[in-house]
Amino acid sequence: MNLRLELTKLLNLCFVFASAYMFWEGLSLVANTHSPIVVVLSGSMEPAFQRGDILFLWNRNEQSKVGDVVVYEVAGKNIPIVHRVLREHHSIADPSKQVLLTKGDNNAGNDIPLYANRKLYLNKQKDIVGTVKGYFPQLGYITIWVSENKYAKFALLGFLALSSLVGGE
Amino acid sequence: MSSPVNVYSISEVSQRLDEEIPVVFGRLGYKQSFKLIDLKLLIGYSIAIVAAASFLLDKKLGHNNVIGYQKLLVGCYAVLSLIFWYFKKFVEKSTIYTGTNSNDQSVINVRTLFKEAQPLYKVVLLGDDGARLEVDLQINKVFNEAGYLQTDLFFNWCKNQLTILKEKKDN
Repeated sequence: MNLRLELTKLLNLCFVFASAYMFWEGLSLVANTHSPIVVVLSGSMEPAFQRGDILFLWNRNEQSKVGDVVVYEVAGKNIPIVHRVLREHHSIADPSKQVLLTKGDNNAGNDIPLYANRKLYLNKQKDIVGTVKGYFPQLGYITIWVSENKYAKFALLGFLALSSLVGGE
Repeated sequence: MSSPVNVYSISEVSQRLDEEIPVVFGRLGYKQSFKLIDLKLLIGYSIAIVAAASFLLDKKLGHNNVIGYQKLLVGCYAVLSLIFWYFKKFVEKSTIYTGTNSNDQSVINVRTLFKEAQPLYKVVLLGDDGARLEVDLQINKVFNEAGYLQTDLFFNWCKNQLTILKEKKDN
């Protein structure tokens, strides 16, 4: 076995993962959010956004405006929720202090029942992951399909294995 | 006997020939120098370690608690990637073998290239005195139909090219 040759092959594999991850990390730092790209998981924002749409987030704005579509996370749950700002209150003395009330366009009521610890508002600094600045329709549906269907996971793995076998040319 | 390659894939064929070059030059009395490949591995694995550190920090401590460190790591990653690109483009330049002849201490540098959909293995031999020989090998001359490399044919071809390079040097 040629150790250097094997190390070179392993390095190429490392580069695939490293470049993808560092691109994500770089994007996170630029957008100032831990999750600069999210997939819409529910139909609560229809007709604006459908399940499977990919959203691009930006979190460098000091305040959110009424009408902005924001993504927030509830403490204790790791599911990002994409809803619209219905009401906002901010401090005149310190504009960075802002609280928001949100609602899904397709929901009958506001999000107060969803907030953790019986909170009535979201804290812009702590709870908001980012404001939606762009989207790509339906591209994220594959992640929903894979996470909700155990056979889809195997089908995808099979497809990747097959493509690596016949992908040489 | 090594496994056969798909002779319709020039990348597979070139990879197989690249692997054979050190064996051939070893038989011709050359001792391989690993300086370039070791340097490439050092820079490459530094990049991988930086990415792994960034991933572990994010995973263990949470993104918002390590933003300062992440800025540093992303900066390091960018600088190292730039160095790696420069190294590949201007220092390594597709070099797959560097060796020194144990008899006359002459140094040989072998670079190889291929173009998609062309059955040619392009070899550039560089001597330590600036002598240069560029030559194309038709792959059907050294592989059989089943995809096995005919090592003796390839050895003789390389030996001939080395003789031509030496003749060029002498003239």
